[in-house]
Amino acid sequence: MKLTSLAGKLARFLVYLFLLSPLLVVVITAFSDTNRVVFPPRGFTLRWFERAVHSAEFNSSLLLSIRIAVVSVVIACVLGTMVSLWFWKSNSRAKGIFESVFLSPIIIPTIISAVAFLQYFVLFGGLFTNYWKLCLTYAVIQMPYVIRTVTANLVGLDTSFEEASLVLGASPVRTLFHVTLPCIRQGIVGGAVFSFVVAFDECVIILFMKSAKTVTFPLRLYSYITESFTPLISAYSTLFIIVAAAVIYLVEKKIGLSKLY
Amino acid sequence: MRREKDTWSYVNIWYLIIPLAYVTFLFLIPIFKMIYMSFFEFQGVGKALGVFTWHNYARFLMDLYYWKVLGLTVGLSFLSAVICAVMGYPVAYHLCRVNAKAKHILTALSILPLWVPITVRLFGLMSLVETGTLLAVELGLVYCGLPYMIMILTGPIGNVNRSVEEASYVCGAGFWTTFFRITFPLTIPGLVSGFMLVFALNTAAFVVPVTLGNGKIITMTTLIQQQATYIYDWGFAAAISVIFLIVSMIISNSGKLYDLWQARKAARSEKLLRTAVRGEGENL
Repeated sequence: MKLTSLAGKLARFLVYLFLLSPLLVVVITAFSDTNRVVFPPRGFTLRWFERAVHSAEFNSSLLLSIRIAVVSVVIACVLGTMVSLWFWKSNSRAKGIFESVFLSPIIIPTIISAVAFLQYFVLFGGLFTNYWKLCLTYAVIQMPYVIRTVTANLVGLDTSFEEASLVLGASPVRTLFHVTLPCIRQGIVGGAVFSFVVAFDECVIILFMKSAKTVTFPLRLYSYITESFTPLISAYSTLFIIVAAAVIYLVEKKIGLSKLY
Repeated sequence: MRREKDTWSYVNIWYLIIPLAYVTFLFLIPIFKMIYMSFFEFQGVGKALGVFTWHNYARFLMDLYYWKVLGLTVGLSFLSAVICAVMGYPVAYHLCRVNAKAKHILTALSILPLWVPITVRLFGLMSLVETGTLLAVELGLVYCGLPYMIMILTGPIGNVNRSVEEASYVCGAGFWTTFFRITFPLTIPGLVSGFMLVFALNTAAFVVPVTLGNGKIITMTTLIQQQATYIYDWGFAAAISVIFLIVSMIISNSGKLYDLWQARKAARSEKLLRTAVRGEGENL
């Protein structure tokens, strides 16, 4: 028994080490006093962090990524919540078909959607700017995540709250905004957080629809990695690891991570 | 006279139509257009399509090289799913057996990689291993799949009724006997679904082979990118995408085969039990 638990401990330790070591390496090399990323690092400096914070290229990419993510999250949340409400109320026979249609963007590999988008938008010529193409297509990919979390929240929701509100004379709009939506707030927020991360982290569609004007954060990082392997990337990445850890902490505390998966 | 509604609800058909229109115009039509394009000769971006042809498909199916690429893609992701299952199981098992506080911290640690941008994650891996090798790509696939595997496995392992395990211990079985004869069999359906998810996810992986393969390891996804954005043969790219779509649909639906097999097994054992009971009754 003693040996078993020791072996288990060792196995778990190795798995966690495997999961966390790439992140640790990123953090450690950010302090390296060399012009290329080397491991183990040499020297100690904070100049890469200073350069990272003042890097105009990284900052503009970051801002662009956030702008795209926010717009697409709003579209995905509004449409995803609408569909989830319909699924909740409907007893249509075609529900199953619609469900698989709405979930298909995450079942079909993103690269196939990316090829399809690339070929499809040629039809419209210059009607959409690249920024809007990205916002609109990202929203399609995010919608299934919103539908999933909101539906999970709706399953246990009692319809009598809504009925009471409607019977008492509240208008449908008022009922929606003051009764139903507050009840499923958690699901919407969870879906929004999740799809924000998906949009922010998206690097398949962007590699197919990139243009000089829309260099999103993942694309910028990717081009830096392939062109120059400087600790500047590590410094910027370190900031992200800190943000990710903070977000996880908040989500776990407010919503509970298990609800998202 | 207005017919009285039997339920009070404001949710009307528009709640379906508006999102459906969005998905149709921005997802379904693009996909169908791509499938359509794969059957025609491609004559350049913005130009009219050429004549109907099977050539795009024939080119893929007749060339051993493309079959090897397909085999490599499926093989690498299958192996990565196996490794993820082996590595993820003990961690998930432990997560379900520790106290709440440790569970929170360890859960957060195991899914932290998922919340860090994938480029950052792979950048970390790139500075640890030599890129452009099969090993590097495989490591990347395992690294990306493992957090999902752990999260999925905590469900079925957590659902195992502890009193069944305790009964086994009380009857004198040791830890390993209990694990292999009680706990593990109960979690196999969850293990299958986790395995299928990681398998399907990693078959579709694109960023991993691009960054860690460094142009030397060609998988289906990098092949599609090559054809669509460097060589600009959109007809062929569309045909490869359709073939890849079929393969990944087969993979993500093969989990259902297992369910079917389980259902048939259950039906058979029920029938056996019934005949046995009836047989005994006759003997009495």
